[in-house]
Amino acid sequence: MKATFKTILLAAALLGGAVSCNRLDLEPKGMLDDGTLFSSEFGVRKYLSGLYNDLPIEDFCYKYADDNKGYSTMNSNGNKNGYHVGNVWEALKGYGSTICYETTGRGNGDTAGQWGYWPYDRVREINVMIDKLPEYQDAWTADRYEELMAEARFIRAYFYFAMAKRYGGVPIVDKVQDPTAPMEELQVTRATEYDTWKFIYDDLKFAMDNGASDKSEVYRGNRYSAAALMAKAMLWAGCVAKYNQYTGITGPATDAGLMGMDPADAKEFFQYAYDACKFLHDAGFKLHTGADKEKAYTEIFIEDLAGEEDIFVKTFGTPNTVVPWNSSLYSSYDDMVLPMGTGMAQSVGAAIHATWDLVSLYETPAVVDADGYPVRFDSYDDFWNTDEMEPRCRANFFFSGMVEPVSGTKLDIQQGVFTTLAAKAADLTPEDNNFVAPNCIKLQDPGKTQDVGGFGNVKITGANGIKRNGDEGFSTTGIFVRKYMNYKADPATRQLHQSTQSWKVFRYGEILVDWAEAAYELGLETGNDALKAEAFEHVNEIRDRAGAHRHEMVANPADIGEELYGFPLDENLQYIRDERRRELCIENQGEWDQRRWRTAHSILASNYWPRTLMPYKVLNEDKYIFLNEVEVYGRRLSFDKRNYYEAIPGGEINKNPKLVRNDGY
Amino acid sequence: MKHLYTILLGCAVLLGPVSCMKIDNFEAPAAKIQGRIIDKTTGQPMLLDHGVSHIRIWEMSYSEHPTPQDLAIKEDGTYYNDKLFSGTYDMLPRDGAWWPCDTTYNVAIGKKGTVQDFEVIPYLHVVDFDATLEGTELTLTCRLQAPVTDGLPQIREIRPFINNNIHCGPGNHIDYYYNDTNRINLRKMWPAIGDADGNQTVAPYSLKIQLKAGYTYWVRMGVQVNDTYTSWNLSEVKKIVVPE
Repeated sequence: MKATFKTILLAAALLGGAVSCNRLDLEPKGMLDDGTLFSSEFGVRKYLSGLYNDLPIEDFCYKYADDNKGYSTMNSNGNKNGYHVGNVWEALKGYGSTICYETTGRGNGDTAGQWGYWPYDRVREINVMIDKLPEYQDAWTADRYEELMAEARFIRAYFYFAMAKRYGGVPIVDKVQDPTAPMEELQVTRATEYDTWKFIYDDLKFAMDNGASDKSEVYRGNRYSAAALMAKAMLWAGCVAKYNQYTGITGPATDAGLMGMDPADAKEFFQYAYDACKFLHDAGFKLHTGADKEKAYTEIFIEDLAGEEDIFVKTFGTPNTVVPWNSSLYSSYDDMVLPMGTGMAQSVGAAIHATWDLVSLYETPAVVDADGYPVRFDSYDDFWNTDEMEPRCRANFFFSGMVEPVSGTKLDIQQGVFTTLAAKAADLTPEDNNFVAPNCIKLQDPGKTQDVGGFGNVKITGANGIKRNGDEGFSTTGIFVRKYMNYKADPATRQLHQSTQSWKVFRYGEILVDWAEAAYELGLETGNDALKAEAFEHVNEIRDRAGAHRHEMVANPADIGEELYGFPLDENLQYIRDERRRELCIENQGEWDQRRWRTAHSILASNYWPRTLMPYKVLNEDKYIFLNEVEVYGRRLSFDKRNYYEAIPGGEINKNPKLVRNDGY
Repeated sequence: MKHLYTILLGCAVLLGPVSCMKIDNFEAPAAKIQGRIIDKTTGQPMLLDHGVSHIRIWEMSYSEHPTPQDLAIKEDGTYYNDKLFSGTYDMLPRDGAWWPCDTTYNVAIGKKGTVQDFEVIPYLHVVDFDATLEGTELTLTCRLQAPVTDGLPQIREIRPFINNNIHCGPGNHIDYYYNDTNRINLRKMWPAIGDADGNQTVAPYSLKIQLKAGYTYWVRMGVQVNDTYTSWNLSEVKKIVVPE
């Protein structure tokens, strides 16, 4: 035994002793230090690539509701708090448009969408660059140095914007914290909401003034992307200042100015938003147009429009490479919006379905006549293939009878048939998804024919739906989403993790609707009628491009807000907001807009049940009709107003008890 | 080397059984608290719906910054919980349609049980509630009364709550009747709907609803104000039997 201990001791001494012979302060060869990263273009790109990947962009892979919600970023497979950790392809099931009744899908119902976003790790990373870059200033020309600093501050503002819109005032950390500092210093209190927005403003103003000025570089932050974010963020801040008072929420966080701002501050923020939009206009950005307005409108989302409409763009992978499953380098968009079929969706199909609530905002032919009866069409094509529908509407949606361009499939959507029909539309569309009208046969196997007495063998249900059992792959609302669908895709890529179209984070179309809203709000704040009139110039620029009729401002607008929302809102402003919904639908903006306007809890107060556009054939008349029935699966929506501000994550409060909870939680 | 294996084996034999030991001999939490949420203006328990309003508690004897827990309040305005850890708690009734009240500090809760009542002032009373049936058509009427009108938040809407069992209210109702056609949309401040003496509305509000023959329903009416929780002040529940 004695010998054994000796042996072990000797071995330990030999092993441990050898350690002291190594020089440990050598620079590790596999790691890049500050000097390497911050003194060359390549180094900075390397440093920023992870931050760009993690930017809180609500793209194809952003999941608002349901399980595994959040941004799908490079951390999506790690169990990282606040990032969606599930299958990226599922994101479309809880896509933002599903919780603001633009579309319906499985995400309907959960409008809270809270998952504890708290990206101070990323804030630290970008603060490292802002702190360290000055040490390597000699490596850069004066201009380039400022451009990089501007880019860093744009990125920081992006993270803060994503927090401010969720929580109101948040802790402002603008220096790299030293982990050995006293706890007192490390635990930063929440700044007021006003100071948080002003902090974002300062970063973006610096980025607008000093950022790179090459309009064709749309993949990195430059002065234009900073201006676009400025417009969006300041419009948000202005609306919170103006409208948050109407939510009636009170408590310690509100009293401390962490939630909400003085309504008098709205003017300042609307002015910032207005100026940022004008900055982009003066820089020469313009709407993408073409002789064929429908075609031109689809091109916005697929073609490279750098220097024209594109301001900031997020790319996804290139085609025909090895598929990295569950990685955010690809999206599954085409496969998740198109119906199943040869040349169309290959694996899941149609996870989200456009609603009539959205489509009816556009110029379309009436489906109910003046006496309340369903309008009889000679064919389904007569609904969309006439001048009565605005080209933008055709570019955004597929209706029954339209041809899907890649596969050449003529889409066949039909809910059922009426043998005879005499009823009014209202009697055929009660709030009941199990309702079957007299003389109606519906919801059979897609595309199958059936013997209907007196009319022979007829097709009941269309090949692409409506199918009752199975809410994906076939239509459930009569309308498929076309916006962003890649019309240049190889049909083989229409499956999971194979879509490669870019996400247009900021485009000039959005700037114009920002501008219209900021100008009108500013006109209201300052009593300036010229600004209000200007708002409708921007609205009409959008409408001209869309192929819609121009809309003129109403001179003495009626108040429509009191009844709808419980606070005043004039019809011109409502029109501007509706134009925004028409222009930006299905781009993950609608739900945020409703939160910003503080209208979500009023609109979704009664378990909102989205409406559809159900195509039917009337056999004895040989005509076609559309009925605005309630959504087939009974997926309803409601919104609790405390969710205008999300709860500060509980784990963060445990770490930093100085964080005040938001009121209502 | 052979000795090394012996030592390792010895360690494994000695330490292995550790995992077999049952050391979780803590008792389950069993401290008990109960009480009522009392309408200060009438002295009676509040009329509520089960699971909608809560008492938020913070266990202050456990931590300086405890994670709050919510105790459910029953529909008769009482609450009861006997699965708490013994300790000192701060308590605050919330999620209900009453004026914000102060937190009650340092309530000692133990196994012997504590009784803690809370007095609150409701925003509104739903009074003169009446439900009459004609055939299958139900007519509901009510009036509103405000104990305090100064600073009363905007009154949003009046709704009926209809269920096929006795539990009835904003958290327990048949969805079919919960829609915008079956409501009275007010969105007005009290001075715009209150009468001259400022305490009661002039005309009763009335709603008509079609029920199904042969069913039994429980109904009540509620009114919602635009405060933090947009909760509901509720009437009593009435049973309605619709004949075949």
